[in-house]
Amino acid sequence: MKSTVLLKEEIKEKGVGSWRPDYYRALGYSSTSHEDNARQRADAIYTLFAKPTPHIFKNDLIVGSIHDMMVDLDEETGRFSSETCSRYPERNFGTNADHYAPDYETVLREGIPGMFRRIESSKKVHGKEESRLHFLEAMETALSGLKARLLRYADHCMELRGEKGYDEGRLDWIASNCRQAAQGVPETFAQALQLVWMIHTCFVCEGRYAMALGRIDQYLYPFFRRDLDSGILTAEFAGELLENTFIKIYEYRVCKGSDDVVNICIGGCSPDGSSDVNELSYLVLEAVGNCATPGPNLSARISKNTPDTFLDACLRVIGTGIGYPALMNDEVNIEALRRYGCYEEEDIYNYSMVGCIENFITGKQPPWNDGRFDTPRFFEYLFNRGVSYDGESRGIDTGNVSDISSMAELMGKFERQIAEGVRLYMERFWARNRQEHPEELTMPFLSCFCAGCIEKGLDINMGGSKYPSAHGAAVMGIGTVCDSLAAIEKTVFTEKTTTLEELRDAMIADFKGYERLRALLLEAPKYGNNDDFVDKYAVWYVHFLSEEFRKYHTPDGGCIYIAIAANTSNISAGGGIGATPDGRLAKAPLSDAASPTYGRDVNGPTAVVLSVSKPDYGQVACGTVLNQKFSPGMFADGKREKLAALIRVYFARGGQEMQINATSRDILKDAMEHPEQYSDLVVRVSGFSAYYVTLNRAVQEDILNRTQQG
Amino acid sequence: MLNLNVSHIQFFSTGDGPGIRSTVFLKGCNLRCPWCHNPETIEPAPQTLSFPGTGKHVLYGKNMPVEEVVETVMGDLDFYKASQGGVTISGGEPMLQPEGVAELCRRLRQLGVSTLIDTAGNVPWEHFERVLPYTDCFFYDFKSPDERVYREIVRGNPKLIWGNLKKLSDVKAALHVRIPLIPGVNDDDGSLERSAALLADMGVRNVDLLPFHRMGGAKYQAMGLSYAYQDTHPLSGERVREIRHIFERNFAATVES
Repeated sequence: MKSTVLLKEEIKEKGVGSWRPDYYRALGYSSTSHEDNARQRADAIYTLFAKPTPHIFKNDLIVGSIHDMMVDLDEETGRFSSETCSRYPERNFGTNADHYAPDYETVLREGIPGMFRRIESSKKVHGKEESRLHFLEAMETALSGLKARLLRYADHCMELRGEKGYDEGRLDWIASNCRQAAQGVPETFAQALQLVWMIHTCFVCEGRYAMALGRIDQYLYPFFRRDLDSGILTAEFAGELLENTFIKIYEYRVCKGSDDVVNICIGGCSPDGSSDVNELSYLVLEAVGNCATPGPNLSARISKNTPDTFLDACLRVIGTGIGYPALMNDEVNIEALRRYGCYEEEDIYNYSMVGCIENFITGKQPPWNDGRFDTPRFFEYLFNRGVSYDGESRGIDTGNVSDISSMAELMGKFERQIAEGVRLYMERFWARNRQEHPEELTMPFLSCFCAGCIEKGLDINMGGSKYPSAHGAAVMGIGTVCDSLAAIEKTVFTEKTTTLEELRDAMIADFKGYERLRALLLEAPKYGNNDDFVDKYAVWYVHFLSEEFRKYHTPDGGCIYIAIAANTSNISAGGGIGATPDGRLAKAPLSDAASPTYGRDVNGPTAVVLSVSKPDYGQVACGTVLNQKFSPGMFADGKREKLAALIRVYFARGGQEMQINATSRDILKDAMEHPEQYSDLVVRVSGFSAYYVTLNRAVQEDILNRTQQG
Repeated sequence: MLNLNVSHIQFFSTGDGPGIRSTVFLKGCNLRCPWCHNPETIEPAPQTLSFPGTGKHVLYGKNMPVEEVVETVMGDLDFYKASQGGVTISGGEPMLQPEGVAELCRRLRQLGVSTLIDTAGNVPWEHFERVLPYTDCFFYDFKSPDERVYREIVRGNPKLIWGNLKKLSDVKAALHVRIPLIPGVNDDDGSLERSAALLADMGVRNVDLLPFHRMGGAKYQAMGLSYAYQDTHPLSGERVREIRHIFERNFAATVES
C-alpha cells in the first residue's frame, strides 16, 4: 500500500546518534532506591521505556519505534551509561533471553489494568515471601514503564499537532488508541494491534532479538470480527494497519545494522481438527508479502483441513520471491510436541514458531535456545581411532576400522561415537545454560507475558513459567551422513571394491591420489532420489539422534528436542570437518538442513519429497527445514496447484516443513555480479530471509547451488 | 517381454499435460525439425552428452522392459492422484514404438494412472489404433499449414500427419493440438490464420501454443552440434498474446510457458 511505501522511506532515514539503550537504563539504575536486583532492574526498565522521546513517523498508524534508542551521547555520559549497566549482566540467547513468543492473548483480554490486578492479588498470596513480593513489585514497575510509554506516545501526538506532514485527525486517533491500550482493555482491532506492537518494541529496546508475534491471526481475530461487524473497520484498512506495523520491523536493520527475525505464525488447526484459518490469516499473509522486507519471518501452519485457497494464497506470496511463508506440517509438529508427554493438548495446539522454525509452546515456557551438532564429524573419530584427521579434536577410540567386518558392526561403533558426542554436547550445554545466581538475572518485564509467572511471583527462568525450558539440538548433515553410510555399504561391504583402511587413508589424504576411489564413492546411491538403499539411513539418523538427545534434560527439567535444520552453519561446520566417505572433500559444506546434498538429487522434487518424508518426523519436535527452489514460472496460474499438490503429498507422507525460493538462478547470478542493482532482493537463506547482496559469497553460492526444481 | 527404447524419464513434469506428471521420453524420431529442443531424442542409438563447463556427462538411451518403466513411474503415484496428473509418453516420436507404448499405457491404466501421448503423428494410422484403447489424451503437434514446411524443413508426410489428426478428431479422442510458434516458420498472421482454419475444419477444439525458446541450445553444444536457432530471439510477450487472440476465436487456446 502507498502508506507502507512512504513509511518505509521514512524509516530508512537513520538520523544522528547511535544505539544506546544503556543510556536510558542507566538513568534508572543510578536513581534506584532498592537493594534487591529484581527491583533495581525494574527501575532501569521503567526509565528505558518511559524516558525516551517518542518517535512517531508521519505515515504511522500504529506507533512504537525503537528509533528513540538512538542517542547522541558525549563521551562521559556514554562511559557512565555502559559502566553502570555492566554491573547488571543480562541473559543472552544461550541462557534463555529471547526467541520467545509472548502470551499476547491474555494481555489483550484483560488489558494492562487487568495485569496490574493480577499482580496485586498475587502479592496478597505471596505477601510473606520477600523475594516473590519483590519480584511482583518489579513486574509492576516494568509494566508501569509500558503504560507510561504508551501515554507518552499519546502526549507526543498532541505535541506534533500542527507540525508539517502530520495529519491532526490521525494523530488524535493514534493518541486515543494509545490511551485506551494504556489504561483500559483494548476495544478495537487498532487498539489491540497497538498494544501488541508497543510491547514488542519494548522487548527490542530491552535488547532482545527474534521475539515472535505468535499466532497473530488468532488473538487479533475477535477484535477484527467485532470491528468489521460493527462497521468501524474494513478488511482493507485492517491490512493497512498490519503493513504499517510489520514494516517497522525493518527499523531493527536501520538502527542496529542487521535484520531481526520476528516470527509470525498463521493458520493451524484446533484440537477438533478444524482449520483455524480465517480472513485475518489472509490479510497477515498479504501484509507481510507487501512489506517485502526481511525481518517478519512468516510461518504458515498447514494442516490437512487447511483450505486449498489458503495454501494457494501462500504460494502466491512465495512466488513474489521473498521466500515467505515457510510451510509447516501441523499434524507432524503437534504429534512431535505431544510425544514428550509434558504439554497439555490445548497448549500444544496453540504452538507457534520462534526464530526461524523452532516450535514453541506460546507464552508458556522460558525463551528458546539451541545449538548445533555436526554429526559428520564422527566419521573422523570412527576411522581414525578417536582423533580427527588434523589431530585437533578427539572422540572415543572405537578400535581399528580394519577389524570391522560388517555394516552392522560399523553402525554400532558409529553410534557409540555419536552417543559420546551427544554426552559432551549436553555437558557443554549445561555448563553454559545453568546459572549459579539466577536471581541476579531476572527478567521482570518478559515474565509478565508468560503464563504462571504472575501467579507464582517468580521469574520466567526460575520456575515461574507453566512449563520448563526446552532446548533444540540442530543435528546437521543428514545428507552427508546418509550418502557416506550408503557409499561405505556399497563399496566396502556389497561390492568390496575398497576397504575401510583404504577409505581412511583416502580421506586423510583428502582423496589426493585416490581419485578412482572417490569416483566410486560418488557413484553410490545418494539421499534425495527415493532410493531405499540410502534413504534407510535417514530413517535411522532421525530416530537414533532423537532417542539419544531425549535421554537428557535442560537444567530446569525440560525436554531436549532435535531439529533437522542448520541455518547456514552447515557451511562453517563443514569448514572444520575432513573428507567424508560420500566423496565430499575436506572443508566443503555439509549437506544443508534436511535437504539432500547440493546437486545430488537428480530426479526432481517428487523424489526429494519421497526421500525426505521417510523418517518419522514425529520425533523432531524443534522443526525441520527443507529448502526447495522453483523457477518463477511454477507460481503462475495453472501451475501453482501442481506445487500445492506436491506439498500436500509431502505433508500427507509425514514431511515436516518446506520453504521455497522462487528466484531464478539467472537473477541470483546477476545479483552476484551487480549487487548494486539488487539492493532490495530478498531470498530465503535457510530458516530466515535476508537481503541477498548482504550475504557473503559462500552463502550466495550455496543458495545458487540448491537444485532448482521445475 | 516388450521393451521400450527410452531416452530418459523426467519426474515432476509440469508442462506436459494436466497435474503432476512423469514424462517418458522415448528415443528415435522420424522428423528433423531444426528447432527441436530435445535433440538427444532424435537418434535411436544411445548417446552421451557432455555439458561443457560443468563436467557433467549424461547418457541418454536405455532399452527398458515395459514393466521396469511402469515400476519407475509408479513411484510417483501419490503425486498423480493428488493433482489429477499421470504419465506422458513423449519423445522423440513415441508412435514409432506402438506395441511397447500400447502395453505401457495398458498397464498404467490398469493401475489407475492416466496416460497421455505426445506425438507428431508421422506414422501409419494402424499405430494409433494400437494405442487408442489405452490412451486418455493425445498431444498432437501441428507445425505449419504449409505442405512445403513439412516436406522440406520437417521432412515428414503432411497428408499422413493431417490425416491421422483428422481421424483422431473423428473418433472423438481427447485431443490437444500443440503448435510450436517458430519465428520465420509459422508465426506470421497469414500462416496462423490458415492454421486456425485448417484445424477448425478438422474439428479440433483445444489448441496449446508453445512459444519458441532456446533452452535446448546447451544440449546441441553438449552433442557437438550447431544449433540453427542459437541466435533466434523468442517472441515477445505481446506477440504471443496477439497470437493467442487469433486462436481464441475458434478454440480453447492456452499458452505453455
